[in-house]
Amino acid sequence: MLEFCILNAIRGTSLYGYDIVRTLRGIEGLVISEGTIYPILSRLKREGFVKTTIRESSEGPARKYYELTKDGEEMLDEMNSYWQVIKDGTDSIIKEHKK
Amino acid sequence: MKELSISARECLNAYLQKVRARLRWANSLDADEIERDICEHIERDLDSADEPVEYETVAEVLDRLGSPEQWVPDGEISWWRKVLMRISSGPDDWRLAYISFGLFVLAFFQLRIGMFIFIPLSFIVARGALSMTDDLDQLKGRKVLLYPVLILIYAILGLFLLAGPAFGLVGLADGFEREIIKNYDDIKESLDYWWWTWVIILFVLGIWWIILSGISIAFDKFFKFIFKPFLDKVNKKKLALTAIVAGWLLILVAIGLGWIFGASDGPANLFKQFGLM
Repeated sequence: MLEFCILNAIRGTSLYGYDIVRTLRGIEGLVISEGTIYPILSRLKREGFVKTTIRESSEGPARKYYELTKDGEEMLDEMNSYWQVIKDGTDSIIKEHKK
Repeated sequence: MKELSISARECLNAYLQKVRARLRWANSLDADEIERDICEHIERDLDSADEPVEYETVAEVLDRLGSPEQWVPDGEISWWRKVLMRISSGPDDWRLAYISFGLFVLAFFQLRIGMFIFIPLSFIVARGALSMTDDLDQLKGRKVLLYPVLILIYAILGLFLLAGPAFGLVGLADGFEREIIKNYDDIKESLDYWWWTWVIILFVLGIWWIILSGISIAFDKFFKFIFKPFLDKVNKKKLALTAIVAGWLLILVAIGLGWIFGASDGPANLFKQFGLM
């Protein structure tokens, strides 16, 4: 679930690790230990789904930015499709009960 | 990094040590990179805090980060690495349990040194770990690590406590038999008075258990301390009553056997022959 959220957070952009955490903090109902994000990013990087670039920062030392690789994009597409299927299925059950 | 108060610095160092210990063994992760990311995260979270940053502020940030133990799936770390992690970074009570068990196991590889050095050390560490726990139920998995050495030592101690006088009597009887065989040339075989020795041993044990029951009732706290934690939940009075009953039974058996041997011709005559009866 967290991998899914992280990959979506950095889709189409590149984000600093701390900013990814802040983005996820903003998702209501998602309770996480913030430290969990970094090992996941490290694993995703090792598996080739994200890559990092170091950029200078005006606020201090250089920062590491994460962005999706081509493999990452493809995997995320699959995850999003799967998520949509689950969501649609769940929504239909909820609607049934509301009737 | 902002200036931290002493307690905040200690708290942060302990946390980072846990991070390193947990990540070091996970093959799929770049431990150094994650540690740098975590440090940067903490710095960013403390950006707006006043200097020196107090313990509560740092603890709040670390609380949001969560325990490093949740970061790496258990399946990624082999069991022996988990043991090493417990010893190197776990809470003291777990460390003591592992150290105690380690010394206990080591004793069986080096029997000579082990029996006199590793086993006593393992016992002392196990008792130390017990003294840190107020409630025995909190021990949970640590019991498996702490109890082997305790059971071994208590079994030996208990055996000597219950049968100590008998050991002495057996030694005396054995010495006595050798002395008789040496002095009387016509006696070469083992003597029948061993039967009488057993009668005396049972009689003495019976008396000893009754005395021991009295002592254990009078000094129950001492016994509970010696055999901690196994006597903690034992009803001392019932135990003592059982020992008294068992003691009387032994005395009765001894008297019965004595009467049987005394009434027969065999063993009793032998003793009379040597002027022992």
